[in-house]
Parts: sequence; structure tokens; C-alpha cells
Amino acid sequence: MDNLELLEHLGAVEAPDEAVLLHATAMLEAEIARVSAPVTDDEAPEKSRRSRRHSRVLVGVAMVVVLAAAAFGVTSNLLSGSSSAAASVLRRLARVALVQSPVAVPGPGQYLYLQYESSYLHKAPTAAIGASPSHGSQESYTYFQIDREQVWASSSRYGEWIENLGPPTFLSPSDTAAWVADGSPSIPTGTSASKLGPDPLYSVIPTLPTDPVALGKQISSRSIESGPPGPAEDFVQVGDLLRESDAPPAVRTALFEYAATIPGVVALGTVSDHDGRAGVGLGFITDGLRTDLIFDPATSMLLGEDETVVASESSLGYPVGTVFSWTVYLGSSVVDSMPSIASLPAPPPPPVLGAS
Amino acid sequence: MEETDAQIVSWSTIGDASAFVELTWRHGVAIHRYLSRRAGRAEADDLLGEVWVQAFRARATYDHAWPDARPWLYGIARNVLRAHWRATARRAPRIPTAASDPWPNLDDQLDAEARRPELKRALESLTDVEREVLLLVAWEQLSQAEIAFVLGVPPGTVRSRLHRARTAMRAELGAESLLAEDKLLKEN
Repeated sequence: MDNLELLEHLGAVEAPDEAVLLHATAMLEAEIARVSAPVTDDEAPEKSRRSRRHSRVLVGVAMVVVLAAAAFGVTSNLLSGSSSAAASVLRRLARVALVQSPVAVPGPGQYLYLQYESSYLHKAPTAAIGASPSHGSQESYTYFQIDREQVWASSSRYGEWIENLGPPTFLSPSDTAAWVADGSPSIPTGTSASKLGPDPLYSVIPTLPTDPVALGKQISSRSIESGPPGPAEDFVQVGDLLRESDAPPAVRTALFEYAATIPGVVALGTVSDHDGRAGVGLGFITDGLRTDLIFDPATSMLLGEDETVVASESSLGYPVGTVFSWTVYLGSSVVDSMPSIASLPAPPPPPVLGAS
Repeated sequence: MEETDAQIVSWSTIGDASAFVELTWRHGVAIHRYLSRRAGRAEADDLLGEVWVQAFRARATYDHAWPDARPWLYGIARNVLRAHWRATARRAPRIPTAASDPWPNLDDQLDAEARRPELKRALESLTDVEREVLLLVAWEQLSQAEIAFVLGVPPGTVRSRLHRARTAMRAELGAESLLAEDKLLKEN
């Protein structure tokens, strides 16, 4: 039995008893009996209704004041959820986005061609785990690889995805030593290709509201993307909707304006992405990890993203300052064809292993 | 022709709330298995009804572009499990770990099997989302788009999480076949 078969075997469970299914259905029927009319805001449970109205009023007031302040060229910490500096940056990006030309979208038979580079830290356990590691031995080694990706995607995001994994670089000399002590196991590199399925999110993006309050309501209620509640997820979802998207300028503007109301967003000033391009950075810290979005101030387009450990209590366990992942968006254009899998680019040179 | 799940959810939203019960007959076994694989049979028995109640309450948010409700129901089941585990942790505090989901049933099975300790190590090296992506491929046979829907993340994120999971598993197991790309390539 190979590992895939074992994993699938571990998922083999017995079907439930009929009585369990009936009991579960009875719980549903009890709920249906309790709420027998269609769901609307006013029919939601009392606790939820109060909190939603409260939130809506606060956002509404904040946006009115923010827009008024923008009109008079003033800012204040009291005007928005983000820090004053972050809100100011986001409103500036909103104004820039509004005057951009719409992003080209692929027509029938065309593809959106995207290029990225990214890197993530990989933590691989050594064989010492579960045995009796010798004194001073390390139970894992950490490395990163630069992943160069190309995507050809139709308007519904069908298409192809080609990635080229570069040679690994170990995080520290002790990680190199742990890898060597573990027998220098092979670390995959090279080129691979796969097909992309459709992405329902991208069919929704062009239809999103251009009113920031309405858009923010959809985001925070998780009706566009599901996810946990809270401002950290709000910030993530704004990034999702700005990344790789063909959102119209008015929607991008509304996204930036809504982001200015998210509490906890911080301005990072002028920062460089991992391609060396300067942009304006905005971050959000959660669990000791700061997620940064870097935008081109001239076009409002997303240049790159970083995740950096900023607190020692981060559950990731890396030293403060460690870049956990990064991505740079290197370009997009509409093309008339995509390559066949057989025409993959040549693989990279053999790995050069060692500490960075 | 049998009506789609999306049509049933739509009817339940615009007036015929009881239509929603049909989904329990169609997908009760699959959702119970999803819960059972992750939390064990007894907890699955307890939680299945809660999944239906939560799904019914959330029916107005159903994306009707998806004719099959299973990915949506898996996502709700996942949220119910996480809430259950959070509540359990509050009642019986444990030493926190990097992974937010304890996956007790999988851990128990791996302990019982004791055949592939390296598989357990490899799975433990993954984040909870990476492991969930992996298991949604291996156990629920979902496509990339469906996994994205379950987890509420863009497919690009699924790709990167799968890539990381695949790399970690390869590093541990040397199993090139563990997550063959074509396992994810159902274009539905």
C-alpha cells in the first residue's frame, strides 16, 4: 500500500446509522418550524440583527465623515478604522484607481497572461523526530525556493499554470547542517504544469457595488468570500479582490475606500517589493505575522505581498524579522493563445545548496 | 430531470423552507463521513444536525452558480467542527499548538495504524489549511475550485497551499504520486 492509498484508506469510515440521519433531519425540521419564512435581515436572530445594525451605522457614519474630510483635505484618527496615515494612503490610492483605464479582459478565445514570483518558507522535519535525536541535533530544517509562475487564464479562469521551482536556500547554517545530517534528502526543483479550473470569484468581481459602504457590507458579511469574522479577514479579502482581478476602476476605488475603514491597518511608508520596485505599503498584524500589501502609487496596482514575523510569540516559531513568504506580480497582458504543455521552458540549473 | 441542489436552496429561500430537507437525504451520508473522518464517529453523530441547522440559516448566502451543494455544505461542516473544537478547548484547555485544528480522529487512526509514522510526521508538519487541502483531495475528491469554495479562499491560494503541502510531503516521504496534479484537475 503506497502513501496515497494509505491516506485514502485512513479516510474510509462507515456510513452513519439511519437513526443518526433521521435525528439530524429532525433538528433541521425543528429549525424550519421555528423560522418558517424566508431569511432577511429583519428575520435574523435578535442578537445578530442588533450587531449588524450597529456595525452598519458605524461604517456609515465613518464613511460620511471620511468623505467630508477628504473633500476638505483633512484627516483625523477619529475618522476611520485604519490609522490616520493608513486611511490617508488608502484614500489616495482610491483617487488614483478611479482615473485609471479599465484593465484589459480576455475576450472569447483569449487569455489573461500573468507572471509572478513567490517564495514560502518550507519547514521539513528530519528523521530525528520520534527517534532519539543526538545532542544538538535539529528536528527540522527550513529553506525557501523561488517559484516563478506563469498563468494563462480565460475570463472564467480556465487555463494553464506553469511553475518553475528554483534551487533551495536554507534559512540558516544550522538548517543546512540539519539537512546534511538528515542525509541530504532530495528537494524537488524544476518545471511543472497543470490546468486551472474556473474561479467563481472572478465572475463576481466586475459586478461588485461601487459604493464603499455597500461593498464593505458584502465583504464583512462574507457574502463574497467566506471566512472568519473580523478585521484581519476583511483586510485579506480586500487583497483577494485587488489581486489578479479585472475589477473596474470604480470597484477598485470602493475597495480602497472600504479598506480605509478597517481597524488595525497600518501604513508602512515607501517600501520595496522583492523585485526592487518601490511602492506604498499597508500592513495588518495578526498572530505575530504582518501581512503587507505593496501598491504602485502611480497606478494603484498591487505590486507585491509579504508576510513577515514581527513578534516573538508568533505561532510560526521563526525569529522576528523572518520573511515567511513573498510574492511579486510582474505583469499581465491579454494574449491570443497559450503554450502547449510540451513547450515548457527549460529546467533551471542543478541546485546550489547552502546557507543564504 | 431531478432538480439541482441550487434550485432546492432557491425554493427554500423564496418561500418553501421545507424543501431544504431534501438536501439531508442527498448529502447526509457524505457530510457525516466528512465529520467522522476528522472528529470520529460519535462526534459526527452529534454534529450532523448542527450542520443542517447552520446550513439552513445560511441558505440566503448560497451561490447559485454551484448546482451541487456539497462544497458549500463541506464549508459549513468545517465551520461547525472548528466552533466545536474551540468550545471543547475552552472546556478542557490543552497545550496550544501551531495547528488550530486538532484532527483527533486522524491522529488516532495514524496511531492505531502505526505503519507509516513518517506519514504522521509529514501531516503534522503541515498547517491546518494545508492539511485540509490535502485531505479534501484525498478523501472528498474535490476539484481545485471546489476546495477553494469549501475553504473560502481564492483558487490561487489553494494552489499555493497545495504546493506547500506537496513539497512538505515529498520532502518527508519522497512520494511523487501523493498529490499528482491531475487529482486536482476536475474542471467542475
